Amino acid sequence: MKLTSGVPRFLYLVWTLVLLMLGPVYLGLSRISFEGRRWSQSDFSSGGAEKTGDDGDDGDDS
Amino acid sequence: MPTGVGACQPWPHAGSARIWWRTAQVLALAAIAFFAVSFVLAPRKVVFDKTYQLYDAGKALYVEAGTRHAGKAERHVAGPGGQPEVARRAASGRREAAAKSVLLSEPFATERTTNMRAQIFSPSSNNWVGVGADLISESTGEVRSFYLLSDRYSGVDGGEKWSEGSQSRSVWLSRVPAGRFVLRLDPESDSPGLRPPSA
Repeated sequence: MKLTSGVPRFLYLVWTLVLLMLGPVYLGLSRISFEGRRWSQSDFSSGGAEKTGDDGDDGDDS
Repeated sequence: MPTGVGACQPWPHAGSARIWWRTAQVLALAAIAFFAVSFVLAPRKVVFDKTYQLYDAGKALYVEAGTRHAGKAERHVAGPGGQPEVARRAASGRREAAAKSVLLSEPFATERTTNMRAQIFSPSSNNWVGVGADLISESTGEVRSFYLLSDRYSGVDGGEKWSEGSQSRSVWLSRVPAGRFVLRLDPESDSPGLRPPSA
């Protein structure tokens, strides 16, 4: 059994950084969600690629 | 009233998000710098470091390694040779009285209020050794209790080696005040491998 006094604990730094990142991460997710809704009615995705699939409005499949 | 998000609508938090990110960056760098400085300047003073040996696994009796009793216990385990039976029994009784299942350490001192890391190491192999510990302040009588477990298991399963657990474990005690302390240890184990050969 060994007792050592005055030893910094790395876990405290990790928790501090995690807490500091909560706000920015929330804002980042909020922005991603906002961009998704903003581009939802577009024929293109927010990355610039053309959307594919059956959800187009031309309706020529039948 | 319009609902949803317009195609040209800007993100409403664009201005404040930049401030949030910048603040978080500065605080994170400050935290890392603070930790680095405290890591370098930390005293890391060992206030207690003792090794205990199992004296009698059947009775779960332990003695401090390196002490006179531990040496006798080791010789007793190795076989006392031509010692007369009566004298050997008397010596064995004294040694057993010296060995205890609950160990109370000599007092030790801490110089300032700081955290404390308690570590256990045991050469456990496919068994476990646990220690219930009480850190007792001599001046206030305050007791801080914790438990440390050394358990290391390994083997081969389907041709693959596996291992789990650890022989060394640590717990942290926060804000231990300066003063004199004693440590009360209550070790336990399921280890037949630690049984002395003569037992």
